[in-house]
Amino acid sequence: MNMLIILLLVVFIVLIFGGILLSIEVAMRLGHRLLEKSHDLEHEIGERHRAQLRAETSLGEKELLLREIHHRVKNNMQIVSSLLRLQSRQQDDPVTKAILDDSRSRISAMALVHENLYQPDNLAKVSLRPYIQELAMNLFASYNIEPSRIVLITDVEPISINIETATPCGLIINELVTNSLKYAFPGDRLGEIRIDFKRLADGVSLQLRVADNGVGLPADLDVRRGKSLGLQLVVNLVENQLQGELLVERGQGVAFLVTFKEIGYEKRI
Amino acid sequence: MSRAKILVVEDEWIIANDIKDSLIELDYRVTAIASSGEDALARVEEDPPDLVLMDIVLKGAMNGIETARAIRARRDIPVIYLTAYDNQFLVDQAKQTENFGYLLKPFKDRELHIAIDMALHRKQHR
Repeated sequence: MNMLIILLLVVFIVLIFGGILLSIEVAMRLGHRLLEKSHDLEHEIGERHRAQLRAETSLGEKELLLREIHHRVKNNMQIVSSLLRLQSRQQDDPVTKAILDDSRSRISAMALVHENLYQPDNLAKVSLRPYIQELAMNLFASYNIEPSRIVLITDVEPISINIETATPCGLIINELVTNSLKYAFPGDRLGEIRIDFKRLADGVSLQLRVADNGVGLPADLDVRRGKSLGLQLVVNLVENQLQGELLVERGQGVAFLVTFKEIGYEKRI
Repeated sequence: MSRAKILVVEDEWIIANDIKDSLIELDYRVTAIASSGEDALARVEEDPPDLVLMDIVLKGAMNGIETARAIRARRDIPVIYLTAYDNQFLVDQAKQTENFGYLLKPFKDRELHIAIDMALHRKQHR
């Protein structure tokens, strides 16, 4: 009987020790695998961190590149503008001079879009309020207009639009304001030019109004059939480029009402 | 102070000549157009101007800020920076050298005229 108890005890002790040894072995293996996994995880975290850094650097580089391209576009337009002015200064013929100066003012209106494009930390949109103000002031300065003789009034809502829309829009304003400055106030006639820009109630349509209280358009002038390149540009940019609508109000002076929507960006590459 | 003598330092020849014509129309004299910092230093010695219009980005080893420093170390000539770079780093660097004005390109003739007159006036009344 005693022998049996001793045998059972021995078997029991052997089983316990075996169990303990097995547990230790299993625990060690588990610990080892845990260590391996945690190493893997650390490695992956490091890898992801580096990938994120690479992505951030690449994004930064791309933004820098984009700024550099806008800068170069602006710089090249400035060179074209300077070139036209050099040529204009050499001309004695006032008609030729006027053609060169008109071309220069059109280039400047386009260059100004690029300036306003990358200034306020937004590389895709043009802020209209500063753009329109500066565009109009530049025209007043280049035609030597005393602001006390012709008053400029602008009422522009804080709207930003993409460059595809802003460029034709700027050229339209350039032509209409130029027309008013050149023809609406002959002699020393006093008056005002108004530029309004707003978003309509539908939330998507935009409306530009350029008006003056000058002598008005000649009664027999058909805006769509006129010979002046300025008005041809206005009609075509509104109807073909912006797919918008042009309305001419003849009353006291003249008002051009342009209604359009922002052009969608067409991928070219 | 009319007929003041001005040196134009600008590496775009077309823009430099446009500025030169504007200066002449505004009744200033242009001593020369220099397209690099080294060229500018030589022109200053040849015919010392009353004022220098300095583009910040230039051809050659020296930029406009370094060139202005070198000119100011030798002679008491006011320098107005001209630049299309709205780079804050360059603007800050330019402010550290003693400068008499800063014009962001493209600028109007009127702005050019005012900046030059103010710089010449400041120099006279220091």
